Amino acid sequence: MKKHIFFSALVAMAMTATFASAQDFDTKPTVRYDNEKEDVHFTVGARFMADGAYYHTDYTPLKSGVAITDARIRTSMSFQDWYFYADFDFSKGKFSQKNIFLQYALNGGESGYLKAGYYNDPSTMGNNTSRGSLHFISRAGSVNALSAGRQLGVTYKYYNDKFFFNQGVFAENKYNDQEDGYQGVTFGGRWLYMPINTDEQTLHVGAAFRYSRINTGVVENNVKKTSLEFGSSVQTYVDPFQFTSVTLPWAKNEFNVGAEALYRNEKMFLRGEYMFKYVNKERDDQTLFENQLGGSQSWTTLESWQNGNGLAPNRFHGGYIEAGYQIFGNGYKYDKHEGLLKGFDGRSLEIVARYNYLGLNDIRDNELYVLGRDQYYPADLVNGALKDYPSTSKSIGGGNMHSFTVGANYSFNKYAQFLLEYTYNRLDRDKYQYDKNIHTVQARLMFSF
Amino acid sequence: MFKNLIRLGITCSVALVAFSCENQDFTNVNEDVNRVDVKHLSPEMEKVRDYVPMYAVMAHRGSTFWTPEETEAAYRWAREMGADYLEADLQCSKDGVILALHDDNLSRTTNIEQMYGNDVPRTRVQYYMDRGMTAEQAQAQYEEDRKNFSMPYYAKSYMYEELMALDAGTWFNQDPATVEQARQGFSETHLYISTLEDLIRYAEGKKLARYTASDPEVINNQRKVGERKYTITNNPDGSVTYNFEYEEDTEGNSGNRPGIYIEFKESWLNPVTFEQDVYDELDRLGWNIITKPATETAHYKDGKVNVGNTNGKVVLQTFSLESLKRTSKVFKGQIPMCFLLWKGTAATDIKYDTPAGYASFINLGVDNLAHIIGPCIAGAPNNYPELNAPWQDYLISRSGMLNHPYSFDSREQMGKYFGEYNFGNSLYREHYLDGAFTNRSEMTIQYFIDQGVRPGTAATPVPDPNTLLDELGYVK
Repeated sequence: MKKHIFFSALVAMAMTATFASAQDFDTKPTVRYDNEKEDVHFTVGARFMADGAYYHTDYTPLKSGVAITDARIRTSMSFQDWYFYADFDFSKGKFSQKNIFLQYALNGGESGYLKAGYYNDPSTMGNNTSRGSLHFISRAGSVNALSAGRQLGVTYKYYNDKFFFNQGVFAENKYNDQEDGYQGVTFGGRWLYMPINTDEQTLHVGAAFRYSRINTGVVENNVKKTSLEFGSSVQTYVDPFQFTSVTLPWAKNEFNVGAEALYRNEKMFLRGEYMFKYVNKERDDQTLFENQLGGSQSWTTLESWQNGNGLAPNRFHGGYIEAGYQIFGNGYKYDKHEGLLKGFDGRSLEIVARYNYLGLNDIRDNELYVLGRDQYYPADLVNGALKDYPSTSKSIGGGNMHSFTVGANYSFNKYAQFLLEYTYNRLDRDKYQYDKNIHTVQARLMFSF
Repeated sequence: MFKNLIRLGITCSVALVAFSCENQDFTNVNEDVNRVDVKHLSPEMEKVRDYVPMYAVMAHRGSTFWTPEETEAAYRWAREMGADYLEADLQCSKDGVILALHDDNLSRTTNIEQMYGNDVPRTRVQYYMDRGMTAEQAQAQYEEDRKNFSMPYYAKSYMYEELMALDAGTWFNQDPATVEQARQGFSETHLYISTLEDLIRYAEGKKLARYTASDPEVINNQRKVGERKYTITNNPDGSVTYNFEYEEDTEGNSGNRPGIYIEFKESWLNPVTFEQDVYDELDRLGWNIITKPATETAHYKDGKVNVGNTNGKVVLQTFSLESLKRTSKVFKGQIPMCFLLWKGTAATDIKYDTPAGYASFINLGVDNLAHIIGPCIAGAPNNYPELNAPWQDYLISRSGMLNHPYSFDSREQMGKYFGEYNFGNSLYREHYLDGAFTNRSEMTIQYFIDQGVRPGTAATPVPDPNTLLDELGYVK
């Protein structure tokens, strides 16, 4: 028996060098099968998160309570330079597709890794950090809103002690079940430079870019209508209501740029990220104009229709700074395979803090908002701002939110952790003009193996 | 240390609960109505608001139940019935006459399809010749009009003289919804599309002057018996002025002098100067209290309605956000103004009738110098959306504005919005209205009398509606 355990440990150490850890799980699985003769290794693991939250709002109620916010099963298999990974979530009583991918280590990993399947878009640090390794109960609101989630695609990754490059190409819809349109494409990546990277401390700075062509949508009267929606909860999962959110009809091209920095040593970490999103739009004006012809009150020229149905690009941004201090434990570790801070590792206690800003208001000057219509009215210095028709405002009032979080995380051992967090959110959104102050007190019990 | 952190967390949680008084665990309308911001009328605005009598009865389009709407018959009937206001919608003819007319498309309430089809009336050539054009010029202008004729049946596409040729009464006798109230008199008496001037003269106790067999114009075959008397003056600037004639209403001589409650229709139906045009027309007709304040203050006098002789004689109203803004600039809040509410998704509708959304419309009204909110009400036969729930009335009352819901057709609706069925148990006001737009003035007036809120100085008893129509000359 001892021999078997010892052997397994050796294999695990060897695998550490050649296997990329799954982004959503950076704890090592404990249930494993190793066939050294065939060089096949198989693992099974699971993760569970139960959250409790108490919310205090000025006006719009959030539902305080408890919820299972994560319940996953994962599995992996490796064979020589090949690595397959999959995990599935069944929290809230519903199955959902999480990661599933195949990775090939080029020249044993020395020349990088090719990865194909369904997994996180690489272009932000926050979104690529596993929920189990966040050191917070939720990702920052700016990450929730402005970063891409998992996508189906191919990436090439290369890293060494100084650099980390990860870039790829992704499809728009993993199941191709869109109502209309062939799929658009996304490409982008994340590039890091690590001037300091030792066992004791790491400093990395980086940049990110992502372009997304939105091509799927719905067809009405021979016109395909694309749309883009994104937003964030108040950094919680128990009630996912989004005080900050936008819907952008006719969105066509999405450009994201970002910058990030991370420093860690044994006792503390400090990291932050800034994200900027630019969305432009396309519309088949000619067909839409012709579709509205035929009525006594139709627009009479394409130009007049376009003037009455304005279209403009929008800009949004956000960012966060996070810090942690470990009171006791095994020290903070850096995962150079992913260019990320690792999660907990054994018994530990830490305190953490975060400031997040999410800016989803893109409002033109001097416009009037009427809550009963959830509509902005263009400024008109001659007749005043109110116009019955048309509504030519190009403003988007998705909401700006500042969030301040403090928390304490206790790891009982390498498998179980308890997180406690308080967040104060300051909201500025016309639609929720009576909600300025949103407080959340949250706790999480997490178990992962 | 860990225990200390837990304690800190618990302490923070308890503190949050203890110091919070805003939090609620579900969307509670009864709480939210006191949490939303509602602007209040200024003292100057309150003074103008008080020009309007409490529990005012607005005869909606005169009456849609008993008579063809917004015609001479409807307004004479409403005046004699004792309504406080004759309610009307304002539009504009192609030659600039301000009309009292509800439908923008005239197909429903006139015989325009039979008269003119989809083309410009052929009488247009003569109209232009009467304006001083040669036959060739008139024909050329007519052809130009035909080329640009894009909205057949819309009132604004026609000269008022052309509109006067239409029969606005017979449809009422044929419509299944009103045929039970049909009267031969609504066809025999030519009922015209009304003008704002007509409306005012009806309120003043007059009726249209019509040709009789002894008039020279009739004898000379220039006019027909029963046609209204008018002339048209050609102005130097190319515009025209209609000179209508009126006479004392000898059949309807109750002495009631109601006010008028006039609505600016959707902004795209009328010229951008329409509010100013109405201001000027009220001025011309002596009904603009800004330039000619009334000397009387009693809304009722000697058992008669006297609103039309007070500063409350004109109340403006609109659904249009644009018109609301323009009205505030032209009338400056010096004439009572009602901001009408309708729930829906169209350009002027209230989409979100939550306390916050509803309050935003009230605040729009206050910001734009309105004194009254006019919400739609539920109930048969119209089954409008409900925008006058008790909490909504409460929000209106918080602003200091009056609540004039529309439109009442049954006693059950009166009872519901008067709070009769709440049996004294209510979180809100006792009555959910301060006045009522009604299609059944006889019913609403009688209800207010029965409830003891109609001043004793107002007329009683309420006339029988059918007998009154007989007396006014509209034979069954």
